Amino acid sequence: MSANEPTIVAFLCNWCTFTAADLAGTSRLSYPSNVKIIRMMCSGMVDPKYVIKAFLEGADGVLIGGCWPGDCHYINGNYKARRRVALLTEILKQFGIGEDRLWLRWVAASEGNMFQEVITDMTKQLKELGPSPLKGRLVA
Amino acid sequence: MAALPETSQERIGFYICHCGINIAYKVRCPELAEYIKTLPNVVVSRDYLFMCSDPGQELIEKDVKEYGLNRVVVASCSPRMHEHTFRAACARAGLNPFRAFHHVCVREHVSWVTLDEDQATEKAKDLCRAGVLRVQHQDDLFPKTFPVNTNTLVVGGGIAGMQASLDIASAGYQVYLVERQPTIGGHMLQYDKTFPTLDCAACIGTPKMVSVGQHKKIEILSYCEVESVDGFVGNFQVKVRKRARYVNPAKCTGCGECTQNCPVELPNEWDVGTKKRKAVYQSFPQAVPITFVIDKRDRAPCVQTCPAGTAAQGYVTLIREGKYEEAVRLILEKLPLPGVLGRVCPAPCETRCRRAEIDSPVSIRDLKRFAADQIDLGTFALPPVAKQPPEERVAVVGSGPAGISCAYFLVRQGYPVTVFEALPVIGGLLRTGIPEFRLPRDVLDREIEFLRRTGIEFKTGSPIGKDRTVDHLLSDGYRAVFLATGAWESMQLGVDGEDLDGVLPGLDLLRKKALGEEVSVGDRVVVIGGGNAAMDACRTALRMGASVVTVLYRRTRAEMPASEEEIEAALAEGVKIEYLAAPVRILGNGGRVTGMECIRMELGEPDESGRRRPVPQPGSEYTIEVDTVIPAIGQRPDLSRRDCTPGVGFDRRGRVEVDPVSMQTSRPEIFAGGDLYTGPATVVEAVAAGHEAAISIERFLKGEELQANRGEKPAGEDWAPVPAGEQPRERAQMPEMEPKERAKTFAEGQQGLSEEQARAEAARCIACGVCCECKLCVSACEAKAIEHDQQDEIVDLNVGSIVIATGFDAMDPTPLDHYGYGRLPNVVTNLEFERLSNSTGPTSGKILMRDPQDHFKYTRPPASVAILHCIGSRDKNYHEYCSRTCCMYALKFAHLIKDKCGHDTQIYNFYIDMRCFGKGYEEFYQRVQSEGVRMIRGKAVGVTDRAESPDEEGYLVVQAEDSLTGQLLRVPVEMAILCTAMEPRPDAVEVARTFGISTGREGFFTEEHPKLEPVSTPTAGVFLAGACQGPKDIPDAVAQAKAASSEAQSLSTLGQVVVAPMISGIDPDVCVGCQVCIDLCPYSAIEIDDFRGISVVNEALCKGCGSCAGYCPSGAAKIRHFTDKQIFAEIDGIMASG
Amino acid sequence: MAEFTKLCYQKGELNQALSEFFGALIEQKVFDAVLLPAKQPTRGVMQTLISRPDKLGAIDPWAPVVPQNAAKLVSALTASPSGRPAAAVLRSCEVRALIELTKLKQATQDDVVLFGIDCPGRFENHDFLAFSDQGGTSEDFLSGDFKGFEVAGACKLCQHPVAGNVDVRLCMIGAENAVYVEWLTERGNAVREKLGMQTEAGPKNRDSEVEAIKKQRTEERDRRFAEFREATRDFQSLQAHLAGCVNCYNCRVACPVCYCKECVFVTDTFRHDGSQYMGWADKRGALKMPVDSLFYHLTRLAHISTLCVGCGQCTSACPNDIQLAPLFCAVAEKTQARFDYRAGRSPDEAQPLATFHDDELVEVTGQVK
Repeated sequence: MSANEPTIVAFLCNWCTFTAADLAGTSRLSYPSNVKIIRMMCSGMVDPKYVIKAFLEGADGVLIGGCWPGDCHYINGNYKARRRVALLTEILKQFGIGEDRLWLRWVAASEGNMFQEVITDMTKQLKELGPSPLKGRLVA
Repeated sequence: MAALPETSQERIGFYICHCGINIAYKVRCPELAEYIKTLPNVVVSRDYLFMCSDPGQELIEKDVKEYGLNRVVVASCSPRMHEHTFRAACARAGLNPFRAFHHVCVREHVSWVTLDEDQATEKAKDLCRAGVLRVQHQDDLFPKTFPVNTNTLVVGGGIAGMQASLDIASAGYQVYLVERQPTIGGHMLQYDKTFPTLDCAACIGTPKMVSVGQHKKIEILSYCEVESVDGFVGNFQVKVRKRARYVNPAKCTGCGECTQNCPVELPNEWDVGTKKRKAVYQSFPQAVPITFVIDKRDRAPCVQTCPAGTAAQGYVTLIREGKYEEAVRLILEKLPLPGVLGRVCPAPCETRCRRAEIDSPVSIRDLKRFAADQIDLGTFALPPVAKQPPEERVAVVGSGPAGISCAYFLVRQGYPVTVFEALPVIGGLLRTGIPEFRLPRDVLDREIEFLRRTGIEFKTGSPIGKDRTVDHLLSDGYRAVFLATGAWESMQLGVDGEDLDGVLPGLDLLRKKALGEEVSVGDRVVVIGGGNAAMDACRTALRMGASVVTVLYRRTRAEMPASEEEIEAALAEGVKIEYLAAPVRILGNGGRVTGMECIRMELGEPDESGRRRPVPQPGSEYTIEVDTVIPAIGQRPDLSRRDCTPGVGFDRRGRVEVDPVSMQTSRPEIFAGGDLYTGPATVVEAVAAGHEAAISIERFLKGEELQANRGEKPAGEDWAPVPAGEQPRERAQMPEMEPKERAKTFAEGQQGLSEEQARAEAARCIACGVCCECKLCVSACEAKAIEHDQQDEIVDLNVGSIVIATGFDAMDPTPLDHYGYGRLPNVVTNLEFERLSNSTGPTSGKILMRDPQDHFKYTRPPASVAILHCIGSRDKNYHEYCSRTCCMYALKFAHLIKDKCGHDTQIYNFYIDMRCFGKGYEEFYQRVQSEGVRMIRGKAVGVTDRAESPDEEGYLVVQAEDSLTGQLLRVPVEMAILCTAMEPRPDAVEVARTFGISTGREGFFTEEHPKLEPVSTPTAGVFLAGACQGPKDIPDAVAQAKAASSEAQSLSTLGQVVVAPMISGIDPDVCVGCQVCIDLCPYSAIEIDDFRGISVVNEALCKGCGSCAGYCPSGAAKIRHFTDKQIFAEIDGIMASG
Repeated sequence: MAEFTKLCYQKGELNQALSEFFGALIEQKVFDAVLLPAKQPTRGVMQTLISRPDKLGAIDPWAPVVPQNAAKLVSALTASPSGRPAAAVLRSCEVRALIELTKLKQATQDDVVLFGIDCPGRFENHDFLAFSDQGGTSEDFLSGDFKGFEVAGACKLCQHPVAGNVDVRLCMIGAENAVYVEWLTERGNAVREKLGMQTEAGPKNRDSEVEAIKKQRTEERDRRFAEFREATRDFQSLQAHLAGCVNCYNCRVACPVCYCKECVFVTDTFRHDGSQYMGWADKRGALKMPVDSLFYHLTRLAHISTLCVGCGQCTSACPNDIQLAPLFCAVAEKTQARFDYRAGRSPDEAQPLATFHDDELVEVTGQVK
């Protein structure tokens, strides 16, 4: 992907946002190709390390997709994800990676259109923001 | 890079699927395959037309053998579609499928959503590279199998639920059928005929109900709801709340005698409010089970507020029915003094009466007085008395309301009770503290006489005190004592001059007057205080001849503790109230009162009572001329009480110390209550205390636990809704003497309500609790099946599979105001029409118009009817979806109207387009058309009763655009039927959560796949049937029920389930035993191994959510197949190009 | 109302007075042993577990050095408890770390009575050795007589000169030629009763002096944090800050709340294949090695910044003089504030990542149904 195209690494809950992404597909709702999905069983499974790793590898944005509050397939995994994202935000924004690059969003299985909107939005915002400060950090 | 480095163990095969053109039209598959071939360890990389086809799968198997592949990556559709297909292919090739296989989605996530071919191809490369990196870190996993419990839970007893139950049970498996309503049957049994065959719903439905009811393998749990579901496929633990029916199904014969006697009427849900039912009822005559049910909500607020728990709603209802004797009998269950309380009770019940939401509270107290006044207590049959061995005598000290009440309830339990009274008269403060004009002596005497008849022995002039103590009573053979000597000593003002002649404490005045002792007041009287005692004192002084009576109160009217009506009465009678003033000293001359020095107050900061504290204003002193000063600033127990009860504790204000629940003192055989415990309080609180003490004393005598099941009274706000459309009506007022007249006499100032007034007033009650607990049904039921004290029960079920068939709701069209529903009596819904046409409905099957004056009355058949399609369906403002059944039942309605009302009846169908897609449906459409039904293509936009021409006068006018002719139409008809949308149940979201399934955008439950898995859900073992999944007609619902039952049977027949191995594992060498994961685990699947000090996963409970792994900082807790290495590899793969 | 017992001492006899006090505790069999800093036979001061009164002569609780945060030592002593009563003399940062370790089941406090000491700060280890080699004593330090030496950076920012959540406190702030023993809890008072000690009011100006110290340190902290945040506003400057890191992981060994048996960074997860390194190098043309330094520090921030007590041991442990304490403290201030949590504040508060609520943090997604 060319330099000015942001990369979004998306950790999506199998039961809602991943399914919503499938639905967006079956409904042929097009959105920017910047997002790369990694399937998780639950947003509560997303270890903060994964987010840090994605940014360190040069991701311009990280999206975690979970079920709406109260709808978690595993009862409350999304609430744990929310705490971890709040924590990561506090840490990363000190060094220039703010809330605009790390998104947690609730997208239900039936909300294929919302998945399309979120990706479109996020891509647009990341383009405006410019490349991640970590892009290519290991280049000598 | 096909050449394999010698050292590597990994041999990867990669396959990109064209999916016909679905992937290939955006992703350049050959280019992708070429690219992947360049990655390390990739031995084979191919593109193929249909990987999921048999040849596609065989290709993998062949390559595994030929090239010695040990890893396989397929890029095709979503893994949710074909992951298991390819895993199976790998397994057939001899590989562990979890280790060997990874699925990359390039269709749903790439080709279908990306417009640009280059971008799609690049994105696919990123994802496939990630997959190739990931797969190399996967490990062998072995799914576990668990046995399947062959019981099935079916939720919902409509046609789908009944059919599923019958099919599963017929296969030999046990079924639990949970239905929320009191009967199974569901919507279908509410209908009249069914399209297109026109067989009657009851004729095909009731035999189903009976079969379900009689099947040995089906247990119906009606009037029940599923509370929680735990466990997993094959092994669910379900908790079902069995709501109390208050009718014992083992005894109920279904005879219906109970309903004949029930005084509470409300609209019947089964008949969608077209007809009424009683509080004890059966939904319809063919109900299964036949057992009746009592609709009992939380107790009405009046009952909850009454300290004594009097069944206020009950006696009010009985008064409405003219059943005064029954009303008094009901009052006597909780109150021994109905006539007294009907006069002097401050009526806390009325403060929360919900009638006030319409106009004003029901006059509950006056109704009680009315009922009490209607009966002759002299001949009134005594309440039933329990049989007891009469050895255990109880003594009650004090004959005030607390003592009387305790004695009364003990006597009813069969204990001989003696009441010891120091004064020569019975009644305590009822007699000596409440003036006659508020409580006539004959009323009190009659009720005391009645209590004497119940068996209470009263001993007047028998003080218990220093000379004769409680211990004497005990040694005289009394086994328990209740102390209720009240609080009747007046508090001192604490100012100079209080000992002067002419200072007369309020209570002394009232007592002397009551006992007929010599007492008089002067011409100018001042009463000090703002409570009810002050009001009684000032009004008494007025009646004793004082010409100027002034009340001095140190705060303002707003803070006055006396009841509003007492204050009003005093003012009306000519009493003056001076606010914000207090006495400084009483002035005298020759030992007699001549005046009083007062001081003005102002209100300062709130004190601990929450009222603003009065603060004297220095320099504002003034003097008034008076000859009698009546302090009425408070009462307290007589401090000498302590002497009569050695060993019992009292506080510094002379109040006895008791356990607040049992009323027991520190001496186990001595109980106490009433004002002696609370300080001055209301009569009804004293009665309540007496009752509690009686319960305790009985338990004490029987050696039972005093505290069990007591204390908090049941509270709750699940009440019947305030009826819509109820018109405001005036609250009944008792006729009253003119204030000036009544101030001259001690006769009772208020006359009771007339019978007409009383019954009309009682009819204002809105029956908050629905059942009013009048218990008339109890006596009516010869089978003794009524059990008013039943409680909800929780039933535990173990099942292996669950069929959800919770159905739909018909949309309420009230919000679509332009159709006039609710305003125009003959605009009816489809469901109302079904009931009209049904022989068990309000008109016994005749299609009649509603009387505009009476919602529940029907007159004559309509001569013209409009049927309006798509009300709330195919409507952007409500539901965009098509409800699928309306076109067909609209045709059925047309046919039924022609059939029942005559062929000359004009019928108009207003439709958007006709959807007659089923077998025999189009033919039915043709037939109905041929019967002369007018079909108008155009959605009706409104119904109005505003005539624009003389021939519209008196008609409902349907407005529509005929979209075939483009004409605007106004069609006058006599009846309009709204074909409303089928909606998800309002609690579908909660139900979905309970069962771990999800709802779609419209709120119906989501099936696993819209075409291939129409009855499965994402939660294994939970299946869907019927309209809870989406609008459908009866044949479709039955078909789906049969499908769901077949899924459940497959599970049971197979006897075991394979559970995905992607669960948590904790590395014992890395775990440090912090136990945080234990608290985070939603399934309690992690335990601490105390011996090793580490956490251990219980694999039967773990569902693999990763709450533990997401926290564990050392990475000891990992979800198999979602390890750090695997995820890192995916990230690396995605980012390798970026 | 707090109650104090005054222990007077002549100049130069502070440690003797204290050893008599602790000696009585062992002789009266109140404790089987006391854990506290003591001079080692050859050189230096270390936490020492003393069970015989005659060994108490070497104790030196106010020696301006903390070779290791003693929470880890109490953890070692109590994670698998001995069942024998002991006293532990700890500074505020040690107590706070111990509270976090206790929540994480890495320590128990059933057998241990906590004695907190007022903390004027400490030197870095090498400074302390030089100071004591020059003949500097704890009393010199307490009286401010340590010209040429500086207290550790973390201590200058510390908001907790007085230890909370202890049973007994040894107070020197506001006291002159005396140590005031403050009896705080039921367990503390039980100790006092066994010793039969009388109580009196505490040092007169103690509260105001404590406040003054806090005020000064707050100003210093705010200044330092602002400076630091400005200096690490982006990843480049963060990398510059961490430039000397060689992945020795000493900082996490020294960290009292880094409680894992095995750090994830030394497990298989971070053992990369050669092809992985080559791939990274390919992608960027050059790869700094060892890899994962930034990853390590960021992950450690994610794992323990909510539990960081600001003791500064990470900085002390760094062989390459990386100022890790301001990094951790500044981030911890933010992360702890987000969850309204303060590490070591109370034993009853759940750690931020060990709990969650349904109705919180709505702003994270900003979505409301």
